[in-house]
Amino acid sequence: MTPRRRRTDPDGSVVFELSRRKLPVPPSGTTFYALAVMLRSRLARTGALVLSLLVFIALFADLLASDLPVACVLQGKVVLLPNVTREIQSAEGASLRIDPLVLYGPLQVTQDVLVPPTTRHPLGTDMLGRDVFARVVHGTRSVLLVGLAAALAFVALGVVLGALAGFFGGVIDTAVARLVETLSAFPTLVIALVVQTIVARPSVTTLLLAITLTRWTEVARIVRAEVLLASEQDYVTSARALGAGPWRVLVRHVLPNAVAPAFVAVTFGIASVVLVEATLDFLGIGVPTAVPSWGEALGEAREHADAWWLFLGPGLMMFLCVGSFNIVGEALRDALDPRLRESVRIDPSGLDALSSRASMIPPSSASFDPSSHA
Amino acid sequence: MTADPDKSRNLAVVDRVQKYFPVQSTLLSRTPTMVRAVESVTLRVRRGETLGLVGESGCGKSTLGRLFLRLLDPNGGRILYDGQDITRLAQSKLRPLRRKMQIIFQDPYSSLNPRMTVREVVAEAIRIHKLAKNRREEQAKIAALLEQVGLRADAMGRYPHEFSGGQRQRIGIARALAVEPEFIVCDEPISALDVSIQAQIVNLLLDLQETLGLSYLFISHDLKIVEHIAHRVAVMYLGRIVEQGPTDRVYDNPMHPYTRALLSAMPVADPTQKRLHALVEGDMPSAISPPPGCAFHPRCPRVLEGTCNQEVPGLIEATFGSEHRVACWNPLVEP
Repeated sequence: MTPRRRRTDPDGSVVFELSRRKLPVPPSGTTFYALAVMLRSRLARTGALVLSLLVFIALFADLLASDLPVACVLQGKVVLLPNVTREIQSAEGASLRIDPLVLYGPLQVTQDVLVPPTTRHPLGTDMLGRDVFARVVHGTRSVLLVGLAAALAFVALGVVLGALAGFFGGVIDTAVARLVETLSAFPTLVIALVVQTIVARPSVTTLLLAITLTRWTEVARIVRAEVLLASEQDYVTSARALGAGPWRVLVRHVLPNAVAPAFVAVTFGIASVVLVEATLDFLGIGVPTAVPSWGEALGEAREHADAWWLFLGPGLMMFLCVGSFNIVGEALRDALDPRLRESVRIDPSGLDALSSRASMIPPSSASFDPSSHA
Repeated sequence: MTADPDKSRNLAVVDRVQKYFPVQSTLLSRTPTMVRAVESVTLRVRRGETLGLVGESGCGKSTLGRLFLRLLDPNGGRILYDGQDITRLAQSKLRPLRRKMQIIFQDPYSSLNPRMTVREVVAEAIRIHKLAKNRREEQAKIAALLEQVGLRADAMGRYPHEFSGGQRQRIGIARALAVEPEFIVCDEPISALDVSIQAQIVNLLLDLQETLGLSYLFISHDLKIVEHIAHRVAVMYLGRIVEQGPTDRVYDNPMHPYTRALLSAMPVADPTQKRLHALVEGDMPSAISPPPGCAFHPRCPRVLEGTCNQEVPGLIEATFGSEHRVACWNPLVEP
């Protein structure tokens, strides 16, 4: 990963040019280090940028598309962010109004049915005359929220059960192992389909439960292995020798050194949950939400195959969302993986391992050494 | 430093302890195969002394050290600390005793939690045993401990990875000293360090013994260092003690062929001196299926067929009152 250029000298010998670029050396702690390593790849930087953009859209959807202005003066009174507070129904007759990017809300029905993209409707309108841009922008929020909630739920369950199994072993370990084996046999989509069909009133909660039920197993397996590894370390023996109880050892010493993969799991988890949710919505058995999700929009677009703009917005967003989460997740995994990490050791002098000197310097003083944490 | 006459002279004792580890338990065999790491060992560490424990890698030294502290539960035998039997004591009941016995590790990289600052590492020891009334006192204690092991107080806020191996070893020692122990198991504390740093750490341990009256079980495979630091020495081979005695007696007059081989393999800074080579051939046998009789007999140059390969020799005092014991059917006598 260290930037290094290869060139051939006039005499035919191959020369490696050492980069003099200063590499980021974090002040302390290993989390910063992992992030620094991660962001050294251009792909990961792009992924992180797209991801931040999606989060921005989700947070500020109301400022991007709304039937009400961002701010205005109505009857001599200043009204701030009525599109968020909904304190007025209509901005009719308002002066000094600051409008959002697009003047339509996600649920607002207009007379313009199936209009191709124009300046008023940047992504056109659908068969009911709703603005596609507004629907996509507001859909981002619900998609990311459901994705994050589901990913956090199954990762939390996986971390807890995996840690207990790895740390205490014995009966708990066996029980968790059997559970993992059983549940891993069911694909998430099938379980989610079944649950959403048989439950009387399918909701976001039932969807979250269905996803959590099947997806925690993988996290539990990884965390269990990491916990076993961390429990072997001398600092754990030392804590026990000092008289620390099992819970203290687990929470203070083992878990902090074993949960790194859980962050990776959350990132990948969001991407996969977004896909599952979109699939269900596309099939029309998804979650009835006030604000349409991308999957639902795509499902509706099926019936109007000639209106290409109906696919463009939701499809592109889905692609960017799943793609960026996967890229960031992969980069995060590479940055946290101890075996890969060995090869990206940072030498603060700016030279790298090519100089024979590097191997003679004790690793602790010569380089920031993240491999000492598991 | 002076021994309390009311208390027993022996501080930490293991009495015929055994430790087996299961290596595999297949579906078909209900009884798993066992590694016999420690096989009926009796050792005593006296108050204020250093007992050196030497042997090859994998002979069970570290396991024995952990048994002394009951960081492992023995499969047989007894463990006593200061006259109290702690073999079956619950971990919660053991906690007050944990203050008195500590351990220092070989690998200074895995012995410190990478996510805790030096302050947190040392403070945890103080907090578990409530040795400071408030934050201020705790802070002062940590600073004093760091100074005692030769670290500057500004090390407190830093993380382990910012230190060298020797410095990390000092942090580990400060953590052990935080609970004011009397007995410390030093599990190869210098093997992972540079030679120049080794001397510093050994000297630090010697200073601490002098000022605090500590007792050490000093586990090492470096015979030179053990000769320097230990009052008595025990030689371990494949889970058993083969020779034991006052350091100068054992070094001057090794009676077990294995001890003799170890000592002759020790580098001597004298190019003119003739050395006996290749006294021992082959590798240490597996602890899963140790050879019958004396475990050393397949490699022993003095093996007596019919005896050594049939019966396990007992650890017997060579001359009455010498405290020099050897477990051998055909021991070497003074030349």
